[in-house]
Amino acid sequence: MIQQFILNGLIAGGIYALVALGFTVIFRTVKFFHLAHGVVYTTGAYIGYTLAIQLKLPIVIAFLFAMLSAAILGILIDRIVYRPLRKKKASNLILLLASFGIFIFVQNLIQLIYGAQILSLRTGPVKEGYEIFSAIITPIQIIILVTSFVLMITLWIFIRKTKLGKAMRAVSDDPMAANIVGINPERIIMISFALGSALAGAAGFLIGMETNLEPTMGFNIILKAIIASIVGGVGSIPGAMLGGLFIGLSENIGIAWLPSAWKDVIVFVILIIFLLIRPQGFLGIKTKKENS
Amino acid sequence: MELLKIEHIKKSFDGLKVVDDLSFTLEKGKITSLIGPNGAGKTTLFNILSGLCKADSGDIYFNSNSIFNKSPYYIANLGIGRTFQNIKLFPQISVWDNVLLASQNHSGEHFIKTLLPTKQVHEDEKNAEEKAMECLEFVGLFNKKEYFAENLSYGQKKLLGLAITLATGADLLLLDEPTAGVYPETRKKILELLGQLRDQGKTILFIEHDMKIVMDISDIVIVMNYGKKIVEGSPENVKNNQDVKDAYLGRGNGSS
Amino acid sequence: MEYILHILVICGIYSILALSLNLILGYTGLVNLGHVAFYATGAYISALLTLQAGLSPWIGLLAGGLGAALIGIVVTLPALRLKSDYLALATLGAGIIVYQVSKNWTSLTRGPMGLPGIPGFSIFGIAFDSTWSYLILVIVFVLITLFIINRLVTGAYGRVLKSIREDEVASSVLGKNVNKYKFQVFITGAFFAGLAGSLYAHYITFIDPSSFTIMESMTIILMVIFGGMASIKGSVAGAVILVVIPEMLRFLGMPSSIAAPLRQMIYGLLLVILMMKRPQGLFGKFRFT
Repeated sequence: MIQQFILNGLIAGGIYALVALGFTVIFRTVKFFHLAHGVVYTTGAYIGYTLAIQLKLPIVIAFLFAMLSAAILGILIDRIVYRPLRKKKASNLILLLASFGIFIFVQNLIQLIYGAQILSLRTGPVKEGYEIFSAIITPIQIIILVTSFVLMITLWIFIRKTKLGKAMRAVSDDPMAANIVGINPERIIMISFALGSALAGAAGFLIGMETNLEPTMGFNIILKAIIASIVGGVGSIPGAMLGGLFIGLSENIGIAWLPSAWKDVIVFVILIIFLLIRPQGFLGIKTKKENS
Repeated sequence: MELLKIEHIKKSFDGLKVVDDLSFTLEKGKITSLIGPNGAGKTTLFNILSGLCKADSGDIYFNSNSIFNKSPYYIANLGIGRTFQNIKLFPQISVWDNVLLASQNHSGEHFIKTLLPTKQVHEDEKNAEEKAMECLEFVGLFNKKEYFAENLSYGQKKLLGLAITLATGADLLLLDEPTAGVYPETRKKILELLGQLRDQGKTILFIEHDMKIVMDISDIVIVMNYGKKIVEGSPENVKNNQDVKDAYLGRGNGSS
Repeated sequence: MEYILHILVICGIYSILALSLNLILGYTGLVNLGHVAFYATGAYISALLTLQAGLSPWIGLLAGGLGAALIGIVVTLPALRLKSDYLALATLGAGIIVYQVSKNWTSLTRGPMGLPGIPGFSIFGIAFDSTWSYLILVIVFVLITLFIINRLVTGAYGRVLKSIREDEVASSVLGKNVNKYKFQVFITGAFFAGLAGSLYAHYITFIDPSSFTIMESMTIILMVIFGGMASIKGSVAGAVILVVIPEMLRFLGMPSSIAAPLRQMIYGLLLVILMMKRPQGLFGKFRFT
């Protein structure tokens, strides 16, 4: 029985890790909590719905387009809202509130277009699962698990190995210095939004294949992604992945004992424990107040 | 009489020793300047003294009370005031309120007492206003009291920072480059004010890069390099010390 | 007429919410995205104490305020040590948890079925059962809130709050125990939000989780920012305007499946535009940068 909870935890954790990773990639360059990342995830799922279910396009094409539209939405959010605020040197509080506003706006736009009812990206009946270690896994779940891990590892390699990835790290560490050596921070921020948002869109699509779509789905996920990145260590790429898996596993193993409605409460209890005991997370450097 | 006693303070960031076994004492009523190349650990020492940064080990006594790694507000309440190199004011608050904020143990800042104001609250406010007026007049900013602090010129902001620190009534003033970046007239004024403060019995520790200023107004000079104290003595002694020349003057960036 | 009185009661309840949030957000600069948690706590505690324990609604009101303040303590305790972004997250989390508890702890709150039949207030045998009498009651509480919050934000105490908003390091170096102030402000704000929740519950007589979603937080934040950060009259104006405008939308005869998301979209957009163009709002002086 516990094996099933662990497996479910890995699948949920993979999705959280994907969103947390996208969030972290963006956070590293802009240094504030981009809450609207949650609706980018929702948008990916709904665009996927339009393409795969309403227009009946092949699932892979729909998936790729969902990622692409999420990336475009991310870039647009940055261009239209964050960038002018950045130019004015707006505080994190302003950015956070603006981000909250964008979130509410897009979420309700989606509700206006698609309605509040629950939709699904499932194309056929649920297939019978395979049994591994006395846990049941369906083909869809295998696809979700594999895709999310492949995307995460690809991004990680991209950031560690390619020239662009190195530039992104440089901007994250010291934007001024990066500017001096000829890296354009605005360009890097745009790329970060594109990559991070594409991952969120992918995650939204994947979750839509397994469970359901609702306009409000992005809220829960962004909170869990942020908590995952705090647990893993804010700004740390492997931390985001580790945190995502940790959150997914904890909530699913937790409901072995508690009613499943308490999943979210488990996650916030974890957050509070981490804030109290280890605010820098597993892999992070100190996130306590900076001293001037 | 010694006002501040620093014993074997150590602080490192990521293995880099920023303050390394530093000890010295400050005599009451003296102006001591703290000099040294950039990165010598001067501002970190200030941060440790004012409680903004926790040291790894050592001890600090102020008027025989240990203030080692205590909270900033506790240290300020005991009577240590400081200014910042990159001036820290409250930009969207009036100059007047900026200075009023410096009052210590104001009963009106107490939750219950502000809801049920007693006579004490009004008295404290009156005292704070008198003090604020005195300090603003001392630095010559009284006519700007209605301005938002952000609307002052750079030099005026430096003066306001000084006025705020004075209004705390602190006995020990930690001033981080009080004259950096201001016009010569303002600089002259600030230096005069520092002299007057000493005459009033205040103890001043200040960080300075301009050697002429250091030599002119200091009673004692402490030279730091790589987190260590290399020399301490009268301006005359320090000027002629070979170590200092090597570490600091030798680089040709200090004398003016 | 009855309808106008009803709108005024709602305006009053939101004024209390906006004023209490303004103390936290506008004056002290602490981002609180979960003010609804305090509102919901006050409503549920007050309703449950009167329904289940048969206590007087007045005791419910007080307990609702205190219970909300307690939630305020639980939220701020871990988060105050950290950067403000984390406080924002912790408050958001509190909003979610309280909502989840109200929805899922069905043995206590009856979950989505809600709590019907919440009794109203009465004093010396006179019940506040008509809309106009309830309006008077709400106005009394608005005035109490105005009085207390005004006391806190003017004078020496308010000066310290603003200094924390501007630069908490500088404030601590001037001898202010910054965390103590943040704590007091949060608890006070939570207390008044709890009172507002109780006033709402005993007025509507029925509460369910749908009245306490995170969108409600959004509405209150918008009231504060639209009216003006650190402005008392701004909070009242913001509350009145943002209660009245959607009511006008209702007269346009849109079905609620369109009107509800449209209203939220307008709110979201308004928040973004305010942040970009006029962060100080209508009456505020503070620009929040």
